[in-house]
Amino acid sequence: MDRFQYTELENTVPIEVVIVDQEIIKELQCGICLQIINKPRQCKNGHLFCMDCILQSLKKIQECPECRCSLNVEKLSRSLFVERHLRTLSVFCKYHFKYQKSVGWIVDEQGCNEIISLENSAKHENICEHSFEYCKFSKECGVIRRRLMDAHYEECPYRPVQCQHCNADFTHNEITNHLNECDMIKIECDRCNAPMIKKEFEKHKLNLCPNYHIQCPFFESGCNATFDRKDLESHIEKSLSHHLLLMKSHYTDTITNLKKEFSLLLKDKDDKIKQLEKSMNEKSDSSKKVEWCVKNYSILKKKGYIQSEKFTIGGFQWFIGFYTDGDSNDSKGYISIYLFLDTNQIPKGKSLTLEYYLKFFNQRDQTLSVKKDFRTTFPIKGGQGWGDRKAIRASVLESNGFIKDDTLLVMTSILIKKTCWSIEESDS
Amino acid sequence: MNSLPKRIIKETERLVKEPAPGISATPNEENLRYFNVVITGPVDSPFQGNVSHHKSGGVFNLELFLTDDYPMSAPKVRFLTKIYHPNIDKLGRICLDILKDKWSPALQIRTVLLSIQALLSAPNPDDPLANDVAEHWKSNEKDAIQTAKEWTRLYAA
Repeated sequence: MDRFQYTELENTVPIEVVIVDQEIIKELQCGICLQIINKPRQCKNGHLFCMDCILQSLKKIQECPECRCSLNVEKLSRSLFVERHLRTLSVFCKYHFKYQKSVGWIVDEQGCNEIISLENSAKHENICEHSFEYCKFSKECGVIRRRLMDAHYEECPYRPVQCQHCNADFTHNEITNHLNECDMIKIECDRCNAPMIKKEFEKHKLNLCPNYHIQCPFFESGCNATFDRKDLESHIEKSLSHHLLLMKSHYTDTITNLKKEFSLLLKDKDDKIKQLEKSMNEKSDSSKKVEWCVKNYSILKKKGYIQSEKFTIGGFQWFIGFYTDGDSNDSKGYISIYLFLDTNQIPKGKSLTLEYYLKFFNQRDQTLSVKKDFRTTFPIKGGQGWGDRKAIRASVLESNGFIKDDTLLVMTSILIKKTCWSIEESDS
Repeated sequence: MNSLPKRIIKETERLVKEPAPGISATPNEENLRYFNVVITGPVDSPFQGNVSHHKSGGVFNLELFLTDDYPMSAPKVRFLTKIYHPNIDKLGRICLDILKDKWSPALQIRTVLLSIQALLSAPNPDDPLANDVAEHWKSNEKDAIQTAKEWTRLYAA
């Protein structure tokens, strides 16, 4: 008698509802929980209670709640009669009822009318044709009586169907929309009645259909004729000379226009090249000027050779040096001045062609300055510097306004004309 | 809130649907374990009320509360209306065996209220709760009944 609860899809029908003879409920009711007795136990005077209820009561007080006779767990007895009575109790199938909000369980006119014994009710309800199940295609359909399920499946909006044109799977309520869109559907061309599938129709219309109106292929050359595709050949034949003339004038115009365009383009490019050249020349023309101030000349000249600080031009280091009384017997009495490249830094194979001058500035009268121009390629073969060994007489330099406050001004302006790499085969 | 045991639902339904004569019990909407109870004083008792004015009787308000342990424990019942009765004290507490050691889970709200109603018909000064009232009852029952009637008129009209 353990099966007093049965779960239905949405609710549980209480046992008091399903019992056919409602009068019998009072006789089979537990005096403690007021429900139909579950696992009946009785006192010696025959008062019946659910086993759970009476056990709970006995924990508090060891007497029968009804007659107050002395009672404990050992004194409780079963009642086979009541047990059998309960098992064989006539009940309605739970699908005889339906639940109505704020009213409760009422008889379902569409429900099951079967009357069974309580012990067989679960078995019956499992197979009852009036029970409810979810539609196998979609929960959206809600629960449906098993009895009506086959009929439902035949018209369920979610039942699967296959498109007969493209074989794709759909639910029944999708198929109408799909048929409007399916591009595998068979159609006939509205002009030539040729059969085809929908997705080929555009291609057919644009390239094949003899009855579609098309433009003469020579429309770019000026033929404005239109006709059905099937008449194309006859049009071409008829209009051969006309088309040739149209083409000739069309292409003449085209070529003239292209020429114009081309020469404009060329001019534009020329201008750009000139501009670039100009800006390049401007850049390379910008020669570097260096002014070297030689202080305490009278003291320094005693060394016989004076050398400037190094300065950087074109990424390399340079310096000026001069001999105050020549650098050889031949140049004795002259100043020998040279521009030097610091060759330690220059990579093998690289050469620089320079235009430069070396100038002794006359501080009394600028026009009397002595300027020597050179053009040469560094590095110098067999030496480091290039200049003039007899640039100016030492006596002139020391007396004619070149030195003021014991200070001499030497200037140079260097312009790199060319940078070359000569790659020689390596020794290895 | 704990769900209400089926037994309490069943009892409440029956109390409302088939009330016992002279007794009404209405559950509080916010707490279904708390009942407002009205008991009409039994005919031929000092708590009957003024019959000559065609009143049905004295009207006594009580409160009844079902503990979590119910029905394994008795409900708690108390008079809210002042009453002159040897088994009911100033605070409305009731001396009734079934509300104490003689409680049985086979008893119900209905049986408890019927017992209280019966207690009004048959005061028992030998098992008093209000000693002075019981004394009064035993020494001069007539006078005590007169006081009870007076109280009924004053408080339970």
